[in-house]
Amino acid sequence: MDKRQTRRDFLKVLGNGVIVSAVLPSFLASCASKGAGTVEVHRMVNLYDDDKDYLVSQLKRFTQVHQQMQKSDRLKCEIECMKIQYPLMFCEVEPGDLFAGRAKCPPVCLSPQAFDSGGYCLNSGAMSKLESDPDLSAEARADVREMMEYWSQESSRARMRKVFPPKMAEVLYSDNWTSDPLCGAPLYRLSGTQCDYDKLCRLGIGGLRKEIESCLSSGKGTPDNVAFWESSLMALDLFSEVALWYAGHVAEMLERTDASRKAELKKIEASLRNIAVNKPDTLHEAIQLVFLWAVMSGSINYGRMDEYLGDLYVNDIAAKRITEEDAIAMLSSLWTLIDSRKTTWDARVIVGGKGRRNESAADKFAFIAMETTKRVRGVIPQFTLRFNSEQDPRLYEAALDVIGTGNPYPMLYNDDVIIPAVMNAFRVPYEEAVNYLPFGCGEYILYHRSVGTPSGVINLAQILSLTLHKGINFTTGRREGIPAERYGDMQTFDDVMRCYKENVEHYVEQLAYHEKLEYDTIGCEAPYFYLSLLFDDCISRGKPVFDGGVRYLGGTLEAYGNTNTADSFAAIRKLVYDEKKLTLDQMVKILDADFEGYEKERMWMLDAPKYGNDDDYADTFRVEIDSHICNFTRDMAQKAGMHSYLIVIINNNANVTMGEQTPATPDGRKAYTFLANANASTGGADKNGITAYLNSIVKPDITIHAGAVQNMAFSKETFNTYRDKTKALLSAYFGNGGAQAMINCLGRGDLQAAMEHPEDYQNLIVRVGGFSAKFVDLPRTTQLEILSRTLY
Amino acid sequence: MHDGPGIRTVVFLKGCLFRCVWCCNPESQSRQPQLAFVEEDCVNCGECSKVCDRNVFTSFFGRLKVRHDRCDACGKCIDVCTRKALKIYGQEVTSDEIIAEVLKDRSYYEQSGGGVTFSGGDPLHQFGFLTELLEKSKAEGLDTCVESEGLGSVRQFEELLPLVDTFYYDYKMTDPAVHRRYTGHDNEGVIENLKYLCTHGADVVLRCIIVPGVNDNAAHFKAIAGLGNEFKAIRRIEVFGYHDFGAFKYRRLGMKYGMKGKRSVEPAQVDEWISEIRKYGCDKIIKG
Repeated sequence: MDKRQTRRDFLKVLGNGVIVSAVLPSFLASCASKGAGTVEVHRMVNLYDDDKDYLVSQLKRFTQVHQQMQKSDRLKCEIECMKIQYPLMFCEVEPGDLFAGRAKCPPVCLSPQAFDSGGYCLNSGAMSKLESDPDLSAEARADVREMMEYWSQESSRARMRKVFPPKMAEVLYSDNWTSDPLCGAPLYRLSGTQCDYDKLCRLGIGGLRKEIESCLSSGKGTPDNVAFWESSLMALDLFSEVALWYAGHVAEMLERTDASRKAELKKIEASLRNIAVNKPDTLHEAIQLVFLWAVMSGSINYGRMDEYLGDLYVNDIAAKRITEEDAIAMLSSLWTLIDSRKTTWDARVIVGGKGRRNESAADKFAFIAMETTKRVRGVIPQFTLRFNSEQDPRLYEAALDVIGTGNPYPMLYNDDVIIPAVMNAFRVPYEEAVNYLPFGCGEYILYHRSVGTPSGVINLAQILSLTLHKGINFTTGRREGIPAERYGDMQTFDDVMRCYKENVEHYVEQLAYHEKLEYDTIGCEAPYFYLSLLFDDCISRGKPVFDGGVRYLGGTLEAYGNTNTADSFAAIRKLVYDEKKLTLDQMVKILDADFEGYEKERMWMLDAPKYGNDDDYADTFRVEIDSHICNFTRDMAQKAGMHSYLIVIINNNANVTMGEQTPATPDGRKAYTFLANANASTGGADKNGITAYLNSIVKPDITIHAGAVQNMAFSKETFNTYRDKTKALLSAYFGNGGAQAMINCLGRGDLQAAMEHPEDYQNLIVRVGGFSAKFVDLPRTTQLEILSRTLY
Repeated sequence: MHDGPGIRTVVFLKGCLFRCVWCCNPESQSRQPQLAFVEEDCVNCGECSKVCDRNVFTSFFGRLKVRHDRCDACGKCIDVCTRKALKIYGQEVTSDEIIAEVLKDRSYYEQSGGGVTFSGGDPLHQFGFLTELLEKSKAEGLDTCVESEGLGSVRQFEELLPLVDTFYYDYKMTDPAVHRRYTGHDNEGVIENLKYLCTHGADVVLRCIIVPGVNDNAAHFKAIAGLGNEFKAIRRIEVFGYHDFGAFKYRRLGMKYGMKGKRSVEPAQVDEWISEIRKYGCDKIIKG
């Protein structure tokens, strides 16, 4: 996704008003610049940075290995490719870093998730840039061209596209969901993996080796299993090689550093040398091991950190090896390194929740992780707290304190509601559901037991538009979706709803098959050893993670436009069928004109009941829209050959990107403007206050999908001054079935932004003194007055 | 947030006999629904005048003029005003509808010790309706607050006593002449009703607005403290300063704002007043 966001783009991402996003404008202002809208990229230094010819020669070797080995021995191919890749990938330890492991992806690489792709990935933009690099020799330039030719056909993504069955190719005819008006589109990455770092920390490389050796010596297993185990040992050897390679570089660096930094670098070197073979004995070693492994694996979410680091932290403190401040310094460095991977939409670090083996030690760690988050105030990691009624309440309190400072983290996940929901959605028992974790933008998986990469996006508002035009894509004129005869004369409301649903099913079906195909192609292109070794039950089964290894092979589908579609149905019902102010044809004509010349009718549509006001007229449509697509999707799992296949209703900028490809909708939304965000109401449409809003958002069934995101915003003043009341508000919301909350506390800067862009802050409510008002409704002078008085 | 304990739903009943010149909720004074006009948002498209039966709207020198006195708040113009420059304050609803709406948030009241607050105007202005609402609220086990200016008879307050958990009671001015001048009414009844409540088991929060040049004097401060000292029933006294944040609403409603040009009170000034009142030996005072 495009990281070059302007502040304003982010506001759009956020949707409007009460409901803002995971990450707030003022928060992001630090990383999004004012004018040009580019993020200042910190350049990490790499071996080939000064020598592009060297890079090309190594990429050529990488390419040759792939050419020679991928089809005959994909296991060894990965090992050999990673041997070439790691020195190209890892960067220098920078001043202040307490750990090694900064990295960047070379333009051709093997990774479960790189450049909107997975497997053997090509960054064609970077390759083109490399090709035109003036420092490159003519020979190297020719090599680059040759490689581009090769990879454009042989990257895992390209290979997968080639094996689409005809029906899939017809329905999912384009991948360009960011620029084409698509109803549904495929994705090609293997994202959302959360490795068993607890196992890694408990066993270390040596322990993992023993486990594999015992499988080998058992004498069981097919030749394929044996080959997997043998190559796994080679993968562990390679990991040791990487750790020692890094240690060597750090040792060299030691000679060139002043005394003050020496101790830190020595510690990094010592930790690297120890974890190359042994299990970690200290917090420092454990962090070094996990981060290095994470980069090698390409996994960009960090699992239950309090569980896997808790014991070592408590031991270090008890042995007086470190102080609490030392630990916070280490975590601050880790947070910075996580941030350096620039995985804004992932980078989950999770603490709290049921099912941790060492709750007391884990809680202690969680507190310092919370404190680190408060101090570092980065955009990532996406720090997340799982909580429940049996947990130490001080963790939750501490979380609210951090949120109250204007930090969007931690995000809150309510175990008491989510565990039963996951049991139903994933069809697993409590013992498995207790291991649910959100990754990325909010999709649940079962920690190191399941995978669930979102392999498709679906735009419900686009599908509604297609339906209203009886199968003609309004923007392109292309006929798509269900066959024309299915529409009939589409006279009644039920006809419209039926045709819409059939169209949704038309796309979901192919997206489900696509997800499975992705596992069978990209997922099987390589064994992804550094994932497989830390996923149940790959080692015991002797199989790679995506090729029969993982216990639960699942998938997810990102749904967008749910709210706009539901509100549109409410408007159609009200204006066309209840009040008969318009006919359906008239309404479509008005939409086609993008309301030009129909201001009055647009106002009617805008004034029709909207989701988010605790008004069942609109809310029941939202419930119906959700339960239809969620249930249909969930039922596709078996047909497609997966353990689960679930909808996610999440939070990223796709609601903006896809909205910009979507014609006008009957809820009064103008053509080619953003869609409502995740489970939020349309910005400005929730006019009945926060409790009504919260009552609405708990109505859709959460036991049939893999996560939906809820954003809330409070003014800092309200959140902190009336903490008892905001706490009660949240308790009631969570008690009523609220699964999750991303809370933003708005400060002065946000009010100023609200004055500049009132359309983005329609629902920001402020207490004026004697009455409350929507901030944007107040005259400018009063706004200034408030700004000068009541907010800090 | 400021209208009683916990998370609450506030029901505003239109209508008030007082005409406090600083009133920040002028839309609540009249008992009738009222048309509001946001001139900044109007483009003078003329659609409103086409549907209006009572000639409320006229165009003059390219700007829309609204004759609020002619309007009966029929609402036809609202349906055609695409700029949303027109709105109606107030609507007629039944007590059952109100209670159903209030009950939607029951879980929030339970978590926070909140409930329902009836405010105004002065809710006693619709006394029969108020008691009906209170009885139904109590039947549902809700915590109830009434915000009152103290209008009405002792008999009415007697009737309210068993139905109201907390009274938020305005005490505006001590000097009867000043009270009459700025509110249009005597304060004799106000004081009598307050004393009745305080001596008959009510839980009272006294709310005192201080307006510079009107009631920021020692005699009034002393009287406030005196009430606090005399009556145990007064749990708390909230003091707040005059502000003009409601001034824009007068313009929108076609009403005249009597305090035009008067600046809002600085928070530091309120602190000063509070410490002065405390000098008279009353420690129940907080900033409202």
